[in-house]
Amino acid sequence: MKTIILFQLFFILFALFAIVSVHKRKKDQSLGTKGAFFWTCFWLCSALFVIWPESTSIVAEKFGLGRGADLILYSSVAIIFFMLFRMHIKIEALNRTITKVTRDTALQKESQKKV
Amino acid sequence: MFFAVVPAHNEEKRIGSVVRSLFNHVDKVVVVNDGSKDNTAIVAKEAGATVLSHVVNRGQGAALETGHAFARQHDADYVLHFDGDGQFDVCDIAPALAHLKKQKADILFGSRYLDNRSKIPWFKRCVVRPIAKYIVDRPFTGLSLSDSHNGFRILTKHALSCIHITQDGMAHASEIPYLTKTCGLSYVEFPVKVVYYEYGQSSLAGFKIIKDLFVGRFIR
Repeated sequence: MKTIILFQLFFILFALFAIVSVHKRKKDQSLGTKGAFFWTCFWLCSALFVIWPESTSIVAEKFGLGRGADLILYSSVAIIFFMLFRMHIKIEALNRTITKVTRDTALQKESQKKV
Repeated sequence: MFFAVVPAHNEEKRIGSVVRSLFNHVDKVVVVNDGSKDNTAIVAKEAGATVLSHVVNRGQGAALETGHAFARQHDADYVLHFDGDGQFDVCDIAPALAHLKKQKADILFGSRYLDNRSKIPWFKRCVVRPIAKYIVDRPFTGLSLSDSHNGFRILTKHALSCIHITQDGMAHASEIPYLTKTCGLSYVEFPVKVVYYEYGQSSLAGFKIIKDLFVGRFIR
């Protein structure tokens, strides 16, 4: 029981730290409004589920799942895969930008030789 | 003007002879030195080529598109894609160009499977080719080419204006037929000889091509 309470305490502190980080990033404009809203909700919900574990079972039942832990596991896997995919697309787009800069530099150097 | 675009990465041993042999068949040789660590750029320049250097290695597709951009700037009438490792025979260039002009097509694809001059490794011929043709190329490109991953191609000015390669790696070889189809360009195939100095791409490279083609569909 003590372990659970200690875990809850640490998780709440971590969630608070995460929310503060999100708002700092929003302030220095490295995170948009939508992103800040999503991550704030995410950490608030996570903290809520940790403080009140039975709440996951109530939500899970509405989705036709037996246990709250299953709901968290399934949704986590889905979210992680989606984020991985998005990250992959972003890396690929970044690669194309690097290629464009490399190409422009190569062409510019050649045209400068002629001048 | 007939331009040859030769992508090259660490090809100092062969690029000089490739460039010199090309000058008998084209007006200008453009070597795209794709971040080579050796003397590829110096050797190509000494052989008389115009050298465009990528400061970092970006892949064959990226190098070809750099050559395209240069050819567009210089109003090229025809652009030849030719590998820098000397695996193609320059004797195929003139008949291929004549065939392209005769057929009034926009793009010519070289094929090592249309005659028996190329000594193709059996695994490539009997296993890799059917898989690539029916699982990758047809679904992704919409064209039925006998050898879409052949680096020998000739593009007319019209094709050059339509085809902008976005795939930096080897997936460009599937992207070009795809763009040929989507831009409504006419195409012909022509038999070319391929000499194998090394095995070429590994079979696992095919998975990267599929991944690149898939991810590429989601990028604007």
